[in-house]
Amino acid sequence: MAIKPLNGRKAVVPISLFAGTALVLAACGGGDSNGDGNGDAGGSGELIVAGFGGAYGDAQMEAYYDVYDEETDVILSVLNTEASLGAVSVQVENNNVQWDIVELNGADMVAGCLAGVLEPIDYDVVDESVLEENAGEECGVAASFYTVGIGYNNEDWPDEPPTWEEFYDPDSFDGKRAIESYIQDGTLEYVLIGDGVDKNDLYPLDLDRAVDKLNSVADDLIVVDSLDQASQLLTSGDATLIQSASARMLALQEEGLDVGYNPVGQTGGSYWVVPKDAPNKEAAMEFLAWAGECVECSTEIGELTAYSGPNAEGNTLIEGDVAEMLPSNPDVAELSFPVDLEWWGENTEEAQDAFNRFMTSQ
Amino acid sequence: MLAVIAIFTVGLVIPFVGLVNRSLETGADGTNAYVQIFNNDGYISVIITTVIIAVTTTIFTIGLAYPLAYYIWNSHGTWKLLLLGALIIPFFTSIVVKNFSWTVILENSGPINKMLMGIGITSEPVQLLFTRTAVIVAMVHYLLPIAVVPIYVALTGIDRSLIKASRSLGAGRGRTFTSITFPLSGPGVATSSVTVFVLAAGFYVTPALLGGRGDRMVANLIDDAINKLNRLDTASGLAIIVGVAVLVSIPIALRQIAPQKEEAK
Repeated sequence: MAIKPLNGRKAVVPISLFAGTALVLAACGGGDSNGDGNGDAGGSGELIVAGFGGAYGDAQMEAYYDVYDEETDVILSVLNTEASLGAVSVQVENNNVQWDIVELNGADMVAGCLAGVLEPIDYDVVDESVLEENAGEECGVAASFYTVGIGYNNEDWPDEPPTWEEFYDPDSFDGKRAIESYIQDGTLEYVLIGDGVDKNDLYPLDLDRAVDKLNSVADDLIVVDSLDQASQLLTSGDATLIQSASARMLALQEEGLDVGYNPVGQTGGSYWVVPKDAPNKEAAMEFLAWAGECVECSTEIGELTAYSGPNAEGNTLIEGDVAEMLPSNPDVAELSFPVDLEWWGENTEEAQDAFNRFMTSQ
Repeated sequence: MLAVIAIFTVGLVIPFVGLVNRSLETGADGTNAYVQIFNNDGYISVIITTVIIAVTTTIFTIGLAYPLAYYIWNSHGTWKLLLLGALIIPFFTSIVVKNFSWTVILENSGPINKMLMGIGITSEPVQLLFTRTAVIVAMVHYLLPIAVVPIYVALTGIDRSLIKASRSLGAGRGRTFTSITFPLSGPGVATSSVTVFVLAAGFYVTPALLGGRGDRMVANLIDDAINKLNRLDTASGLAIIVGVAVLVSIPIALRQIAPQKEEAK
C-alpha cells in the first residue's frame, strides 16, 4: 500500500508557514539588497518560485523549471512550500515579499486579485494569443488545468459509471463516500448536482440547500483533507465512491488497481501569480511569457500529469491514454462544467462558513 | 541572561503583540474577530470539542503513563535501561507518520477489524477510522512518552526509606502507595497533566487525519482561516482564545492536584 499523504495539502502547510516566517525574519537584512540589485537585469538574475511539490511538482520541474533554468541566464529556484494565499498576504502586508512566482488555485487567485495582494499580469510581455482559453486571467497565468470527478471500483459499476446523484444517494450503492474538505475543488457544487440542480445552472450556489443535503446523508460521508487520503480509502475499501482528480486515479491505475474515473466535476485551473511588489517581478513576467509560449512544455506537463497546460497548441499535441482525461477533451468537456471563478473570488468566505456549519453539526 | 531576554523579545513578545493587534482589527462590518467568532455557532462548538478532546486525552494519557513510570521506577539493571530506551525511541518518529499508521491499523480491512471478524465478534467491519475514539487513541499514543518523563523524574526523587518505613510500620502496599508514593509524585503528575493538556489542545494533524466530522479542533479552524479564507484576524483571534483558555485552566488543574501534596506533609 502506498503511503503518500505526506505531500497532502493539509499536513505540511502550518509547518512550512512557520518555516516561511522564520525565513522571512532571517532574511530581513541581507536578502532584500540582493533582490534589488538583480531586479533590473530582466532576463538574468534570480527567480524564486513557490510551488506545490509532490509528484506534480516533479513533473513541473521537468516540463518547465529545469528547462527555463538551463535555457536562460536566470537562476530559478523552486521552494516546495505549499504556498497559500494567506502566506502571500502576510508577505505583502509586511513589505517582505520573498517569492516571485507562487502557484495558487483559481479561486484563491481571483480572491487575491480582488484583495490587491497580486500583481496584474503584464499582457504587453505575456502573449495572450497563444494561451489556452481561460489561461490568461487578470492576476494569473494558468500553470495547469484539471478535472475533478468520481473515483470508483470498476467491479462495483460494470455498466455505467456512477453519477453525483448516485454518489449522494446512499441507497444506490453500499459504502461510504469520501468528499474533500477543500471546497474550492467543487465539493459544494457536487452536492447540489447530487440534489438535482442542473450543472449549467449552479451559480450562484444555493449554500443552504447544499448544507441541508450534506446533513441528510452525513452518516454515509467521510470528509478528507486531501485527495491522497481519498485514494487510500478507495484502495482499502473504507469508501466505495470518492471525490478525486484525473491524475490521482491515473496513479492508482498505474499501480495496477481496477479503478475508474468519471470526469463529471468542475474543470478548473491552478495559476501562477506574482505577489505584489515581488523582488523580481519583471523576470517573473518574462517567465510567464515563456511558459505560455512554450509549446513542448504544455505537451509534456499533459503527458506527465494528465493536466493540460497554458499553451493551446501544446495541449492539442498531448498523446496517449492521458489525452482522454484532459479537461480539453470534448467528451470530458461535455460531462464536466467550468468553475465560476468570479463567484468564488467573492463568496469563498460564505461558502466555507456554510461547509463549516455541516462540519460542526453533530 | 540578556541573550535570553533578547530571544524571548524577538521570538515571543513581538510576534505575540502582533498577534493580539491583528486579532483586534475591525473588519468591513465594524466588528473584530472575537465578535465574529463568538457569534458563530460553528466556531463555538469547535472550541468546546477541543476542550473535551484535550481533557479526555489528558485523563487517559496520565492514567496509562503513571503505571508505566511506576513500573520503570521499580525495574532494575539492563531491563530498566531497555525500558527507558523504549521510552525515548518514539520521539524520533514524526506525528504524521504515527497517525498515518493508525489509519492503516483502524481501517475496515485493517488488522483490528480482521481480527474482530476472524473470531466472529462481528460480521461487518466496525467503523473505527474517522471517529472520536480514533482521534483520542492516536493522541494518547503520541503523548504517552511525553507524559511518562515528568512522573518518572518525580518518582526517582522519592526517598525510598520513607516507603520502607511505611511498610515496617504495618502499612500494606496499597496504603503505602496512596499515602506515600502517589502524593510525593504529585508534582510530577501535575507537570505531566499540564504538559499533555497544553499539547493536546493544540493538536492539528490527528483530527485532520483520523477524525470525522465533528472532531475538528481549533488548530484545524486556524488552518482554514489562514489557508482557505485568508482571514488572518480570525486566525489570530482563535489562537489568542486557545492560548488564554489554556493559561486559565493551568492553575485550576494544579489546584486539583496540589491538596494531595499537602496531605503528604
